[in-house]
This record gives sequence, C-alpha cells and structure tokens, in this order.
Amino acid sequence: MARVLVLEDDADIAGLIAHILTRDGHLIDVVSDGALGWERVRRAPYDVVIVDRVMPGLDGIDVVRACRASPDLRDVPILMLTARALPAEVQQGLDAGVTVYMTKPFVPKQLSALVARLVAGDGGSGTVHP
Amino acid sequence: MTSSAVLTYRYLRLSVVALAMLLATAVVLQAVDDGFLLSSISAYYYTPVRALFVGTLVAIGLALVVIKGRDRRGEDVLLNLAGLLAPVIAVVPTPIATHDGPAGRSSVPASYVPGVDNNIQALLVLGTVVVGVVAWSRTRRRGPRAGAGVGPNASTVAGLVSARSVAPRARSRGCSSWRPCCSPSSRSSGSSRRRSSGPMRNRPRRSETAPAGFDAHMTGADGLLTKTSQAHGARIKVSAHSAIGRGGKMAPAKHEHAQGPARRPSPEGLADAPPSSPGDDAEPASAPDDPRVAAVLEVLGGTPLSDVATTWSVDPTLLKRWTTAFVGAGTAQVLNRPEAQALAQRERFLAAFAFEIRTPLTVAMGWSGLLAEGDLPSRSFLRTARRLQETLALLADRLVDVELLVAAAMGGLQVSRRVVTAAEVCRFPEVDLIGGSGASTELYVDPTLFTRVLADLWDAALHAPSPHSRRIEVVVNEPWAEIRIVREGGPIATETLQAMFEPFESDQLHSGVSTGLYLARALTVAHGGTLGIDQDDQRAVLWVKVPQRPDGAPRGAPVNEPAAAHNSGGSPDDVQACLR
Repeated sequence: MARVLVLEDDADIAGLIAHILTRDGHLIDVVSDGALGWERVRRAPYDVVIVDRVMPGLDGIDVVRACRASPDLRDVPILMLTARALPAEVQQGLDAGVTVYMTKPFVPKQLSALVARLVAGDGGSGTVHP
Repeated sequence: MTSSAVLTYRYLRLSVVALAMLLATAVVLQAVDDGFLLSSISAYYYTPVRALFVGTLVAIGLALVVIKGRDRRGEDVLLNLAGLLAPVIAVVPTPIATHDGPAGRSSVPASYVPGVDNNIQALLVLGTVVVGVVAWSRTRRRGPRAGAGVGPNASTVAGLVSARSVAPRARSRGCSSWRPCCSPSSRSSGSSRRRSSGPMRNRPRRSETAPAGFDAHMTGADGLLTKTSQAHGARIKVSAHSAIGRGGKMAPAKHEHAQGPARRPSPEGLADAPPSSPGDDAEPASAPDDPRVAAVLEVLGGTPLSDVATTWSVDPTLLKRWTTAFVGAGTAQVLNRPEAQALAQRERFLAAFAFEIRTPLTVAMGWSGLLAEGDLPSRSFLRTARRLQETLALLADRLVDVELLVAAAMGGLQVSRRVVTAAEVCRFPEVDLIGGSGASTELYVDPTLFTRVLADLWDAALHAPSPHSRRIEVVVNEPWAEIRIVREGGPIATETLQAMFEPFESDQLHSGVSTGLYLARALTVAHGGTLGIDQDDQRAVLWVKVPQRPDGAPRGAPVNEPAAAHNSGGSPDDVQACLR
C-alpha cells in the first residue's frame, strides 16, 4: 500500500484514477488545483505523485519543477498523466523532471502496473504511450 | 497594442504629475529662501527657478499634446490647446514692475525681450510646420475622392470617404471600441456610443480577444487595456452592406484602382463567400467576388497598399497580412509544397483536436476497461453506462465541431439563413427572459449554426472565476442585430480571453481553452457578422452581431427559405445539413 497524491482538475478522470488505485490498495488524495497540490505535496510525504499537465492555479510542469527544486521532494516518483502528446511537450515534461510521462487515454491495467513499479522504485524514466 | 505600449502611456501620464511636482518643489524651495511667495508661479521666471519653470512647462505641453484623453467630445482638442499654450506661458514671462519700463506699469524687462522674441518665433515656425504636416496627412488620408463625390452614388461614396477619414483617427485616439467604420451604426455613433456609455463606461477595461485573422486594436485609456476585435474580413463586408443600404448599389470609392470588373458583391454573396485562396478550386474569374481578394489583387497590381486600404476601408496591417497569405498560399500551390504557416496551423489544429478528444476518451476507455476486467461492483453499472453515454455524446459533438471547422476552412459551409425570432435561437434552460428588444426580435440567421454560436458564447461566459449570473439581451441597431450574453462577476483572466478565440496558440497550455469560440467565430463570419468580448471589473459582455435582414428587403417581407433552412435544432443531424 502506498500513499498517492493525484493532481487532476477533471473530476471524471480523477474519479477514475482514484477508483483504480483504491482498488489496488493505495491511499489516494485528490486535489484539483495545482497550487493547492503543491502545498499538499510539500507538507505530507507521498510515495507517488500523479500530476496532470494543464491545471488551474499552478501548471503541472511548474509543480514538477518545484518538487525537483526541493531537497525533500527531489526523488519522489512523479507520473505526469496528460493529454498533451506532442514530442516537444513530452520532452518539456521530461526536462522538468517527470519520472514517467504517460499520455491519455490509458487503460486501468496500465495505470495499475505503472504505479506499482513506481512504488517499488522500478519506474525508471521515460514515456508511456498507450 | 502591447502591454509595453500601455505602460508607456501610463508613464507618460505619470510624468505630467511628476513634472508638476518638480516645479512645485522648486517654487517652494525658492519661497523658503525668499521668505515670501511671489504673486504667481509665472513670476518665478525671474528667479533661479526659471530653468525648471521653462523645462517642465515645455515637457508638460508636449505630454498634453501626445495624450489623447478619453472618448469625450472635445477632450483631445482641449488637451492639445493646453499643450500648445504651455510652452508659450513658459517662454513669455509675466510682466513685472521694472525700472526701465513706463512708470507705474508692469512690463517684461528689456533684457529678456530678445529671448522672448527668439522663443516665440521658434514656436511659431514649429507650429506652422506641424499644422502643415497634419493638414497634408489628412488630405492624403482622405484622398482625391473627397471632393469627387458626384454622380448617382454621391451620397454613398461620401459616406464611405467620411467614415474612412474618421476611422484611423478614432483608432489613434483610443476609441474604446473599434466598430465597422462604414456601418450605419458607426456613422451615427450609435453603436460605439452605446457600448462606451453602457455598463462598460466606467473604467473601460475592454479585453477582447485578438486571434489570428482578427483585426485587433488596443489603446491605453486610464492606463488600462482597451482592445477590440473584428472578424476576419467582416469590415469589408460591413462596408459593402452599408453602402448598398444607402445608395442602392455599391460602387468602388476609387474606380481607377479597381481591377477588372471589380464588381462589389451583394451582402449575401459577401456573407456566404468563403475566404478564397489560390488553393481553392473556384474558377479564377470568381475570385474578385470576394472583396478581400479584390483588395489583395489591387495591391499585387501595383497600387500602394495604403491607398488600397483606404479604398476598401480596411486596416493596412490586415491587408498586408491578407496579401502575404495570398502570395504564400499561391506559392505553395505552384511549388506543390505546403506553406510553412499553414502547415504549422494544421499541426496546432491536430494537437488541439487530439487534446480535446483524449480526455473524454480516457474516461470512456477507463470505465469500459473496468467493466471488462469485472472489477466494477454491480451497483456501479448504471452510473458507468451513463458516463459512457455522456462521453460518447461528447465525442460526437467534437466530431461535429471538427467537421464544421474543416467545412468553414474549405469554404464548404452552407449558411441557410431565414428569419427567426431570438427565442428560437436563444434556447438555454437557465434563461427564462431575453432582455433588450426581447424574445420576439427577428434575426436573419441559420438557426442551426447560430444556435451553436450562442451556445458556445453562453458556455464561454462560465470561464473562471465563476460568474454570479448570466443573462441574454438582444439589441437591434439597423441593419444589425446584436445578441449579448452579459456575465456578472469577476473578470476573466486576460490570457484566457486572448486564447479564447484562438485554440491553436501556446496560451492554450495555460488557459485550457478549447476549440469552442474559434468555431463560433468561423460561423459568425460565415453569417457576415462579428463577435467579441467587452469586460470591466464587474461584468463581461460576450456579443455577436449579424445583419438583421437581407439587404434591401423591407421589414416583414417574406424571405425565401433554402432547402436546408428547416433545420431548427443543433443536433449533429441538423448540422450535417450545413455541410456540403
């Protein structure tokens, strides 16, 4: 069981992610605003952070950069789950410090497996295009 | 106008205050030294304050001439007058009691007179030059047609020339709203005044979007952004509309520049004419039917761009953009190589469309995947089925959006207009009352497409921060009908406004704006109209303006309904009828 923070402003997708990961036995916190999400991740330890790219408050890329600039959060696995799939956008995410860049849409099994790998510290680094 | 220009304007105004304070400080210091105050500030000309006295007044004068003020009648004239007189006050000192003057009378000391003579002569020479340049500029702008408005179309041509001469000045003075320069509404100042005297009058933070293809102008008034937009090519359409409405037929204002037949099309033809390009399959002979193409051809024919812009009442920047696009598209066809800009636009469109489609697809795939895995409790089946249904409906809507966008871009959009009431197209569950001229107001639109335009505007009014309320008003200002969606609440973020009509720019990354209003713009232009957003601190007005009646048709006259005109809904099936 791991603590997972989900930063996602789309309620339907946030609900879907929460359902999948709760089913897998994880503890899930969902925040729909980037700035609030950054506050949350600063104050509480999470095993994995799943972040959308386009969010109100603070952009997902900015959240990732802020995490990587913080000594305490430099190594936390971050999964960027986004509909932005252009090569330049993917590269921007990886440059910001994303552990895995996964483009929507995805199927539940993929997300479950990926989060399990990240929790186990076996996430590596790269992109996932379902 | 860029934000730097707005800052420049703001700093200019602040500099006037700073200069006045500088002068006041110098006067106070001198008064402290003297132990008394002189009878006037001008009297300090004869004290050590003189350098600052002259310098600040000249600088203030220049600033007052440069500052255009607000849209109040005569304000700029008064500012200019004050600006011209300030240097005179600076260099002509106030008379004082002197030993060398007539006894008991004040005068300027003799030692100062040569300096005064020199300075005043310099001011007179400069003033004469400035007046000459301004007069020459206005004459050139007005062109040789100013006195040539004779013949059967004299009133029409005069109207066009008059409007043209006003338009550039209006823009340079920071008109709070850029209106079609030849529309009856702008001629009578009705629309423009109405807009600036309505709820937007106080602190006109007017932030309309300026997508590509829009002619946007921002001016700084009160140090705030003022910006309006005009649908691509709509101004020319409006010009033709108003001219025909007044003169019965339209003649080019400058016949000697017309290329070939240079026939001005009817408003119907204008409204339905897609933006032509060399890549279209249309016969070359039909290209000049579109006034934009005709104007571009005049430029390519060797007529100075500024002259063509004046003739066709179009902003030179916009005309230059059309010409560049025209040549670029033609070159791409000849070389069989995609034009770089068009290619980039296509890529951005695909990226935006993919972004739009991926989110609902994620929901559909996720929940259907859970169903397939058998991990969904039975009590969730119904809810999941509803989600899937909603998602598929959203996907179908997006598909129709794309079809309409492509049809509009390819000139395949069929606009089947007919007379409908406002109530028929303003169909929102939240709206039980249509303000202004009311629900029975007649509009001349394609009900299917226009319903979609209004729905998109209605949704756009929901942008964060959440509004307190939304309402609809209809305003008729012959020959235009304007539908306004008034949003009460905090202002929408500037970057969101800027991205609202242009879904393919990088701003989308931050604003999350979808293709909605871009399509609304395309559909509005196809109606021969324009749309935009006005905003201040309390409310935003999302407006769309279309011709109210087919030109020349008296009110109440029946309008022939095309076959597709019987569409009354906004469903995909209805929209299919608009595609050809």
